[in-house]
Amino acid sequence: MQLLKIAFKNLKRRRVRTLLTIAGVGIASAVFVSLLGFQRGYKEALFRDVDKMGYQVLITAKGCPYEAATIMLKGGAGLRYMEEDIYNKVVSDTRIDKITSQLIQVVYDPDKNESRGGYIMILGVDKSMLDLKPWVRFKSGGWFSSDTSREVVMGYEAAELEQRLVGDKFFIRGIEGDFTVIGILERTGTHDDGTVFMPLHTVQSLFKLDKKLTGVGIKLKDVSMIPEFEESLYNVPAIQVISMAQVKGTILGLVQSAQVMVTAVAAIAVIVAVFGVINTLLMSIMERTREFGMFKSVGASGGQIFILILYETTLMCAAATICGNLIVLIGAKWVEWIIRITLPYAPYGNLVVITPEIMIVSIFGAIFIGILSGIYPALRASRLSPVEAIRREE
Amino acid sequence: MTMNIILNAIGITKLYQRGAEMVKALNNVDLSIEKGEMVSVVGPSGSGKSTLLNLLGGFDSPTSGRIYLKGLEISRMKEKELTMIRRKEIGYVFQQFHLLPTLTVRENVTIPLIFSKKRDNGQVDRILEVVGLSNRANHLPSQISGGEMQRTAIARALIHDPDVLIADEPTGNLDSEMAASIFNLFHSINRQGKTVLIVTHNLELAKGCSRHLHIKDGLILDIPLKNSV
Repeated sequence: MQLLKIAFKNLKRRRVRTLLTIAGVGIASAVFVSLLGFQRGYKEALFRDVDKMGYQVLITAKGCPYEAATIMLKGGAGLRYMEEDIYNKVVSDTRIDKITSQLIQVVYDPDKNESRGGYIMILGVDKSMLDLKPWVRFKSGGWFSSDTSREVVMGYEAAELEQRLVGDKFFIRGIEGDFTVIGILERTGTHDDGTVFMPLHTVQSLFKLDKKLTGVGIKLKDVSMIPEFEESLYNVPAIQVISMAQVKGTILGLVQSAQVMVTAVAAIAVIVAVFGVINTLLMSIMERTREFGMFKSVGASGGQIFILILYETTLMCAAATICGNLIVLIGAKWVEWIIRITLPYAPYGNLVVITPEIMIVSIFGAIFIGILSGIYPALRASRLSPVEAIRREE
Repeated sequence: MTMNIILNAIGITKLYQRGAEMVKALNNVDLSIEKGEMVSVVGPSGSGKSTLLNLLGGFDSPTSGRIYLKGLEISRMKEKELTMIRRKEIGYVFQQFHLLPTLTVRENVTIPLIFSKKRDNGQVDRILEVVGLSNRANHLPSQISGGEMQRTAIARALIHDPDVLIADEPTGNLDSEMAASIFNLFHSINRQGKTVLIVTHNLELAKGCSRHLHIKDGLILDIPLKNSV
């Protein structure tokens, strides 16, 4: 039997108090791990979402550029329209590598989601979209037969949700007639998965938006040309040019501002947990004064008692942080759900990514904090005079 | 100082601060204990019995005077040296047993070996046999009687084979039958050559010791027990 075993068994003596302390440290640890996981996950998901749009520059109608960019990212109503001529004006620019035009429409369907209602995102595109998104693959079927056909290509999840296969009919509430499912895409891990694609001219005609677009996505030959390209279109009336790099930075900046507040709360949770550990240990030491006297009477040195207390705090904090990590691993989906309903824009995919590095950092961090909080109680215990400790109750 | 003297106290005085008042717990006490003696220490509460044991066991230092254990002056030793003395020379038995409730009898007895970083080479089994607890080795303190708890505490005090065993009211929490059984155990340990010092209020049991010290007002009266009673 070793000191570590004595420390472990000591913790079992006051189970409720030990469990409450572990719960306190565990919750602080879970908040900390969630934050780190969110910081990593959100950034990765945002960059993936933006990168998988396939373009570096977006031309939209004048308005709030970031609102426009997020609507393009996540889908939704409220986009302004611009004239299709813009496309014709820029398409011949020699700096452009690839270009595609888009018209987004959102249709509310009260019968969706088991009659709870929901939106169908319809994206009018032409085949140039596939040039900008070379990773897009067809699970089955293929592209539209013509620019004006009444056909749809469904994203992976849209097809799953609607339970459609290639050749099935597809209906849009408020639109007369049916559409044929001509292709179903493989999963991309982006909002494309929930999108229904239609030929651009078909969408323009169906929604009476002739020669209108919501955006033109552009990939330049050289990324360093973006500022110059933006500048060249600055004076074109009724449009704005948005760099996707700026969008990434701005969204990340907004989220990080919120994160600073959450981090402050997490820091307070950690401080409260540290005082909880110190309090638990000090109470325990007060109660065990005679026990330490006994230890000294059988040959324990002050250093050994110091180490015994540090073992106790380390065991408590290690158990707490392991529980905290498990809570986050199990509850990451709930944390993601809270983030999604709280933030104005949440990218597709995992928002909280718990990596082995994060877990290791949190475990060692908690052990380090445990050791720090144990130092004062351990010093007090180790400096107890044996005669004070063993003084008999009279 | 003869070769047989194991503990020798010369002119020890112990003063305590109690509030604004200074209390003289021991007053210029001289005492010699020979190897193999079994000494009972009796006296009224607050007379200085426990103070004497704590000083002789090296748990406290006198205000003045010197204490020698096997010729070494322990009254001026540093804590580190005293720790080594406790690991080798002295075993201490408490009235309240001070067993760790989550450890078994065997584990409680093993504690001194952990602190002195020694391996159990069978001595735990042997000592449990001596105190009659072989069949209780894997029981928790809550599963054994008061007498068995005190036997466990005695085994723990003896595991490192000390020459001196100090017991402070070892039968104070036991009924008369168990107390007699514990005293018999102390006699048996004494017969094996250990020097035993016992503070007790139980005069009947104290009569069985080879020597009696009656402490009163910080002074030792080294007299036959029947006279002190």
